[in-house]
Amino acid sequence: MKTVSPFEARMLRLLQLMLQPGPALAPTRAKGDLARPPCLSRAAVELVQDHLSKGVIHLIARQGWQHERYLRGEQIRLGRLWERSDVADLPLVFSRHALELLCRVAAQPAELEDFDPPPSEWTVADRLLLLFAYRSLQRTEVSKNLVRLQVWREDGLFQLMFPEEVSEQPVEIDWAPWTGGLGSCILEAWQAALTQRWLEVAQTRVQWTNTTKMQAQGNHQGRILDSFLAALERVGRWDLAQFLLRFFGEVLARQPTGANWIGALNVSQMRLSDRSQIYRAALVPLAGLTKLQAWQQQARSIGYFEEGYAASQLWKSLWETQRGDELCAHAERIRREVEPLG
Amino acid sequence: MSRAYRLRISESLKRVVHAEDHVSTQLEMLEILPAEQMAELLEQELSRRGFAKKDDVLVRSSNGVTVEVDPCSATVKVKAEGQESLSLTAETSAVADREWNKELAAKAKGQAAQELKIKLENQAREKVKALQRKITAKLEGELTDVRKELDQAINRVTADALKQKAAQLGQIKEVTEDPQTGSMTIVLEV
Repeated sequence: MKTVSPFEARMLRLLQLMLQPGPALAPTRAKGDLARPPCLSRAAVELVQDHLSKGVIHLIARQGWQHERYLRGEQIRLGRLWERSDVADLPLVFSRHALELLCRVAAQPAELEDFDPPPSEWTVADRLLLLFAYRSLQRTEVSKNLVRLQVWREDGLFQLMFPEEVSEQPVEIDWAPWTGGLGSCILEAWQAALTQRWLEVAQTRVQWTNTTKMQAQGNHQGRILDSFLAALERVGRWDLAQFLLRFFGEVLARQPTGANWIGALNVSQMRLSDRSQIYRAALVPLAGLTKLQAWQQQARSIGYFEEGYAASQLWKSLWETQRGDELCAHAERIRREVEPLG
Repeated sequence: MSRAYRLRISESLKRVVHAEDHVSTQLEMLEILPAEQMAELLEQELSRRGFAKKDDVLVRSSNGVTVEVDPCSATVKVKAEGQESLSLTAETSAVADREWNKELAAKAKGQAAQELKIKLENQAREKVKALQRKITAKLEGELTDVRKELDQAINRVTADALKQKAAQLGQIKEVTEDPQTGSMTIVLEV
């Protein structure tokens, strides 16, 4: 039996909350803020290590258990995440920032205000922990401090998972942690979660009447999408955009007409040119299909002996499974329905 | 004993206000022939429909609505603009006291004049909004016809391009066009 202080107990409870698989209720604030001690006990540190080593692995396994196809070099591998890659190639290394983050989240909210390590010092495992922290504390005061972190604003996976969090100032998104090595394997595992999140965001926007909000978020999501797809092109990993194909298939089934995308917007007093801009922002997610279609056309022209043949074959297969051509035609019909001169 | 009197103040506002609205889109043209030849066919078709060339762009204006087409990029811009001369006046009065000195009287007059100017500016803003709504409604009213005409032009260009392409492949024996369905059949001897 290990003994910990009240502060350490709170920190461990928060960590358990973060590592729960589904949505969780944030704990109510303890009566009287618990002051952070100058040092954690050996027992507390060992318990944190134990929780992280088991809990994070458990969450990744819950996401990556499906038999799916992804690239490994110039080959297509089918299987669960730990079958596609050698487990030795998937080490999770946490830096000191992971423990520091936990301590500050458990302490007073002000403790996070001067915590902003450079993004280059955050490992993939640290970033994953930050993602879990935000997910579980999204409706609390702490989350406002988390989204101000430079690593949050620049991280690709955070931006994909929470495209509704519009940055005050657009920054250049860093996709490098998630498009190679361990990070790309994590991104493979998170495809279903990304599809679900994008559907939630699209569903929320159906009822929006505020045109300013729609334009800001639409433009923000457009930047994320363009940046993500460009990064995947650079590294030759079209397969990491599979979640988008599933998202388009699902969202076009749920929102089949233009009215589903813009119907609630209050534009009657606006000029047509301003309305066009708002409509384009509302349809931003569908604009990604144009890029994916370009990949499909490119894939069709890649020959057997050319570089990228495996990637092209995989993409063509995914495209046909999700009926990409039909999705493109459907998106185009919606665009023409919505555009004043469409 | 003070004796009150009224100061009459009037202000006027004269200006010309403008309003403008536009929409743009990209025409979808199949690349049956190289881009330059397609652009040339589009230019010829639009010229037949009353468009005039102005700085590499084809332009046609009617009913206060201007359509501009760039045949190279196949972008279309439809715009409507209008202006209105405003001549607004307003009057008000302020109460002054004969025992006031000139400064106080001027201050009262100035305040009243300032309020009048604000009132006139508000009226002018409402006029601009009304003009803008009118321009937007006019543009909206023309869009359906413009879209229809551009679709017809594109279909014509596509048909001409197909004929030229077919002629490159062999000898055209017969061309049949169905105006109702818009379909075209080309019989070719290769």
